[in-house]
This record gives sequence, structure tokens and C-alpha cells, in this order.
Amino acid sequence: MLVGESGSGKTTALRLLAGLLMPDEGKIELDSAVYYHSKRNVFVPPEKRSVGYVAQDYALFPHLTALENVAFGLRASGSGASLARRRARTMLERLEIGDLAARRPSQLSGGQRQRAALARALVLEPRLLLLDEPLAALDLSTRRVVRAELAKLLAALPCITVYVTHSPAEALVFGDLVAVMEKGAVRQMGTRDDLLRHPRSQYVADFLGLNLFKGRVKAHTEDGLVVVAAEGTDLYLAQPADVGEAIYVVVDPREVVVSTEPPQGSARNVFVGPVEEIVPEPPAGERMRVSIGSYPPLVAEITRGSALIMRLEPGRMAYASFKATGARVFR
Amino acid sequence: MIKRVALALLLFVSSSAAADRPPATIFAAASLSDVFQEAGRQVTKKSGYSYHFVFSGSQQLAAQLEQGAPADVFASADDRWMSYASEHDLIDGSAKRFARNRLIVITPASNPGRIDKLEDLARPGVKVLIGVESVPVGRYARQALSRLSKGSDYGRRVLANVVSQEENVKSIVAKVQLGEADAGFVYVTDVSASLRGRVRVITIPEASNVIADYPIAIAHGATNHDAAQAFVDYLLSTDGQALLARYGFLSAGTDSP
Amino acid sequence: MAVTAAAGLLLLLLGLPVLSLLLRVPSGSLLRRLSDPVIQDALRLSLVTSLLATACVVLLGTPVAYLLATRFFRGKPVVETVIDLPIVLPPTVAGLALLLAFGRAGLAGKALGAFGITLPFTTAAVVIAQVFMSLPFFVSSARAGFARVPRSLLDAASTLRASETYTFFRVVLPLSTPSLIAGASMACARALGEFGATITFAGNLPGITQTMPLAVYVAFQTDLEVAIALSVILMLLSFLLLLGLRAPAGLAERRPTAPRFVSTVSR
Repeated sequence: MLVGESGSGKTTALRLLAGLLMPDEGKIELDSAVYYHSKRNVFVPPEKRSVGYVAQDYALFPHLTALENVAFGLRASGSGASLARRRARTMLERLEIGDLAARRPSQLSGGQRQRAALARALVLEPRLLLLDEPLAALDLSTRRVVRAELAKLLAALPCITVYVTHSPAEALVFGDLVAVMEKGAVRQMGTRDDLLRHPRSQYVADFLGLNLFKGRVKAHTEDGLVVVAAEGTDLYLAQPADVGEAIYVVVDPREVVVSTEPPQGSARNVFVGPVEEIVPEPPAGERMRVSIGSYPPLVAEITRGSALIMRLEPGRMAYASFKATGARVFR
Repeated sequence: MIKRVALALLLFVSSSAAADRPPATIFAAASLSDVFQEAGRQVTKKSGYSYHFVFSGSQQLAAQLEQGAPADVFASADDRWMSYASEHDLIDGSAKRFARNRLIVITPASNPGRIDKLEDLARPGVKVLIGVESVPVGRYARQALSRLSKGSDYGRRVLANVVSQEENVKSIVAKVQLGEADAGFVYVTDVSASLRGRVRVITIPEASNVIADYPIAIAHGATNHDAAQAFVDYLLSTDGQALLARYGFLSAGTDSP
Repeated sequence: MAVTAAAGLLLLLLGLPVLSLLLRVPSGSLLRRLSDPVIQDALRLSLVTSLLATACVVLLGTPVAYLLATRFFRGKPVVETVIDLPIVLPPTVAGLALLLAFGRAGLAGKALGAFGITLPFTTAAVVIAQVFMSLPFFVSSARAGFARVPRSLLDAASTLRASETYTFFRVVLPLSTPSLIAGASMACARALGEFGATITFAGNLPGITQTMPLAVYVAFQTDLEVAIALSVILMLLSFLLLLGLRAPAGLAERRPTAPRFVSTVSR
């Protein structure tokens, strides 16, 4: 997962990996294959790399049918026409758009085009798959559906996938390994938990700073709140959602109130657990990230002063609470 | 003293008055380009009239006149096109012959075709340039060839060696000068002083050569009558004839067309 | 409304001379003229040379146009200017330049002479003159067509294991076909109508170098009726040639692609 704001260099990074851009120096290696090595003067052009690239606008060839598009790479690398068509058709069917094989890209919907572009890249069995904001070109309603299917598909693939997005939530939902980019450099890379619990910079913390829960809407309360069963407990949200809907709940750590006494306010979501970690946030440690081992675990962001007043330390029992309005829904 | 000043003033006034008028347009055969420009300068010096020349193949000039191109004078390289102009009411009055010309054969100075005598023109593989049938120099050349043949197939063999038929004589001069063709049929007057070093000349015997008659006439609808007439008069005068002779033309002769 | 009026006026301006020419010739005499061997020579010569010239222009011009559209190199503006020169050059000047270069005594002509090849006054010279004058028309159109192919498609192709040559033939060329055809049409029309450079460099000899435009010019001075008949034939010839070249383009446009506003069903 490569995540960052626009202009942070994510697309550039992908183009470098694909070989569409020439780095100034350094090296690019995939397993044992060296694609670029400035000192040894090695540069492998894109057509010789085992890399699949799906651009943001999918870049399907408008003058070819979906089938011909998918077969393109096979033909280009020397496969015979009938073999290429067979393999292309198989791949299209795997992605459940086999019946669209004879259509031109202009006759396909956004989601179908994405699948065609994916099929085109995957049929070549690349060792590295690069996806540039695959969901950005879709409208919101399609995005939901496609995201879920994409997640399933990517999980089943044997190749390494580098997925670029500007949405932190997307990154955290999908990614095994997440790298946060800022101004052309990777600021921090790690698992989701790593980043959420131990952001190594203000930027990363701000950019990602989220509590993320996966759940299903259980019911609606009389006072208009939504009850979500997530990770073994109930969460109360003030956001609209349908019963039975599978959603993600996002809570900004700044919305989480930590206290050593049961909270007096109107917060509907109250949890209790031992303080697991207190990490001062760089650069100056004015703010602290407190991880509470509640069920579900929560990360809160408080000032140093508050932490001192409450005499928070690992092992101490504390309450973490947030209001129903403090939680957001992510589909 | 006063007389001289007055005369000078008079000339100055009259010449500037004349210079205010637009130049007269003279349509003339291409072979007249050098001599007419000099003649124009002479007339301008004497009378103050100014001239603008259009040089082309006589057949093209006649066609343009017919299409309504404005001209004050028409000078052709043969009677045929002047008769044509007369028949189509393109000239006023009758034309007067003012000069005559002869044909000659030229080759590039390097003589790539190794042409030293007229007979060599019939050798297979030689590249000969001739005018199109309609241009006077082309017609004259064909006449000369038929006279030179005297019953043999000489003329036919030379014509078989023609690689291009040019629209006007100056194109032939240019291409021979460049060395692109081995020989070309042009007028005697085309071998000017400047050309003499760049081409070799082969004369056509008098008996077989043609005499090209050059008539001149005021064009119908001329707007610069005085200037036009001044130019024609100059050519027919002794000064004009002398100038023509200097450029290689034969005199107008005693009989008129 | 104003647009329609302007268009109508333009059509009138272009159409009137053509119509005048057509109305002037009794069709019977036209057929009679066609049997004249001199006219048949000119017709055949024009057809053969302009088609040959167009083929040369396409073969030579396509790689040049592609390089201009995709590469940056020092001296590129100079190359572009040189290629565009024949458009602004008066044809007779171009003819003279060709003579000085490829004539018997010319720069390259001497070298060619060593191999026994002389160019002036040959049919080959006619083709060369036509190629010289019509090349820029094709190159500019082809280049624009190539440059319009989106970069993203070229990138995608290279990530799909396609070499530059494969991409050129399978992606760039198919997507620029309309521009190439338009360019070839213009070049062919220019070649067909070429006069100044032809008469200067190749000369004027019936059967060898006297193309239709030259024949019209010569006839104009002797027999106006012949000139008119020839002009009509030339015009019809040009029309047919252009139509023939446009036909594949027309077919390509009619190939079924769904109109853009069709809703995408499965959203």
C-alpha cells in the first residue's frame, strides 16, 4: 500500500517501478532481478520487466475489443493468436466479464473497464502488480462494490501488489504493508497496527491517525443512533446506515477521551482497559498517543499535560470514550 | 546661361511630370529581354517615360492578351502570333517589323555530348532541347531542321533526341548553361557577352537557317499611348536599330510584313 | 444562420469555377479528346507518377513524422523547417534547386552519373519533383495524428511487453489512420497538380514528362478548347483519386462503436 496526498510522489514511484521513468540514482530490484542500478549502469526497459501496470484511467486501447486488449501483451511477447485469445478469454471469465469480450472499451462501464485493465495486466503473470488509484475513476456507488471485489481478488494473487491511494482509510483497510509518502519520500512503512500505534512523525500520525473498526449494523436506536456490532462489541454512531450493512467505523484519536474515572458526559461509547502504551508524538512530544487495551482497543491522542495530571502509565486502568458523533462511517 | 537653366528646368519638370504617370507595360518575346530593357532605359533618359516589361513566349503573351491582360505594346518573335493578335483585335493599327533574328545551336562549355558539328545532333543518346511547337523559337527550329534534312531523315533523328520542349527560349538557354542538356536551339541574340564563356556555339548555314521576323504593335486598349508610341518610335529610329544591332539582331530590313 | 450563409458563400466561391469548366465542354467532344494519344499519354503519366509519388511520400514520410512526433533532439527546428520548405518555395525555384542538386552537373547528380543514372528529363524526375513538393503535406498531417495518440496508451503498451515497433504498428498506426489518409490525399492532390518544379527539373516531353498540368498549359496557348477539355478531365481525375483514397477512411469511421452517451448498464 502506497498512500499519500496528491503530489506526494506516489504515481512517480509507480512509474519508476514500471520503468516508465528513469531514476537519477539508486537501484530497483525485484527478487533476484535487477531492474535498475545506477552504479552498474543497468536499466531494464518496461517491456522487459515482469511488471503489470494499471493506470488510473486504465489506458485500454480504444480500437481493440476487451478480448483483444487482454490478449495484447501475449501477442506482443510472441504468443500465437489462438493461444493468446484462449488465455485472454479465460482471464476475462475469471474476472467475471467473459461475456463482454467482444465489446470496445467505450461500451464498458467504469467497473468493467477496471476489470478489463486488470485482466490485461494479470494475464501476463507479472511478479509485481502496480495499481494507480484503481478506485479513483469510479463513482461512489460503484466504488464500494468494486473495492470489496478487488480486495478479494488481490488477496488471491500470487504477485506482489503495490496499490497507490490517497485515502488513508483505504490503505488501512486493504494493506498488509503500508507506506506513507510525503513530498517524494517514504516517511514510514509498516503494518497497519505499527503505523497506527507508532507513527514516527506528526505527518504520519496526522495523516493516518485513525481508529478503524470493521462491523455490521445491528439496529437503530429510538433516539436515531445506529448500533454497529464491531469486533465483539457494540458501537454507537450518529451516522446514517442501514441495518445489516457491513461498514467500517473510523474514530479519530482526538475524539477519544481518556479518563481515570468513569466518564460523566453523554458519550455513548465507553470502554475500559489497561493502558498499554504511551508514546509521545514527534517532534516535541507535546501530544501523546495512548493505546488502551480495551475491547476493542482504542488509540487516543491527549496532551502531555493531561497525561501527567492523570498520572497515566502502562498497566493503569483507564476509560476511553467517544461520542456517537465522534465516529465516522467508511464504506 | 539663363537659357540653359530654363532648359534644364523644363526637362526636369517634364521628366518629373512624366515620371508621375504609371509605367507603360510592354509584352515582349523572351529573346528580347536584354535589348528591350536597355532600350527602355534609353527612352526613359530621353523622354522620361517609364516602362514595365513582361517577357515570355510569344504564344503565352498572345493568349494572355486575349484573356484581357492589360498591355500597351506587344512585340512578338514571329508574324504568326502578331497575326493572331491582329485577327482577335488585340492590336491597334498595323504591326511594324523592327528587327530580325537567326537561329543557332549552343552546347554547354564542357560539351558533355561531344557535339562539334550539326550532324552530331542526330547521334543516338544526345540530349537536345527545343521549343514547343507553338513558341516561335520552336517553330523556327523545326523549320530549320526540315531545311537541313534535304530529304534525309536527319530532322527526324534530331527530333527523336529531344528530351524536353520548353515554353520559351530562355529556359533552353538556362538548361544548356547548367549542363543539363547536350544542345539547344536558340537565337543568335541569346549568346550575349556574358554567356559567351559558358556555352559553345555551332552555326547553322545561311541557306538552311530561318529568318525570324519580329513585329511590334501598340496594344488595343493601351492606356499609355504616348509612352508606348515613344518606345516603338525609338526602336524604329537609327539609334534603336543600332542598339538592336549591338545585341546581335539583324536590321528590320526594307520590306514590311 | 450566419454560419450557414458563410458556408454557402464559400461553397459558391469554390464551386463556381468548377461548374463553369464543366458546363463549357460538350460531353461528346470530351470523349473524342480522350482518344487522342497525346492526352492519353498525359493522363497515364499523371496517374502513374502521382500514385507512385504518393506511395513514396507515405513510405518516406511515415518514419520521419513518427520521429518528429516522439523524439526531441538538437536541431529539430532545422529539420522541421527543411521539411516544410517546399510549401513556401515557388515551384519553379524548387525545380531549379532540384536541378542544381540532382542535375547532371549537380551536387549529387555527378555521383549518380558515375552509376550511369541521369535524372533530368526522365519520368523518375517527375516523380521526384512531385515527392519533393508534396512530402510536407503528408508529414505535417501524419505527425499531428501520431502526436494525438495519448501517452498513457504508449506507456501501457510498453508495460505489456510491447517493443516500440510493435506499439507503432499495433497502437499508433491504427489510431492515426484518419490523419494518415488525409495527409496522403493532400499529398496526392498536390502531386497531381504539380507543375513548376516538374517543368523545370523534369522537362516537357509528351509520354515521358508531360503530365496533365503541363499538357493543359501547352494546350492553353494553341487550342483553348483542348485546354478546357483537358482541365475537365484533370479535375474529374483528381476527384476520383481523392474519393478513392477517402473511401477506406469513410469505412473506418462507420465501424460500430457505441455512441458515448449510451448509459453504462451495470452501474
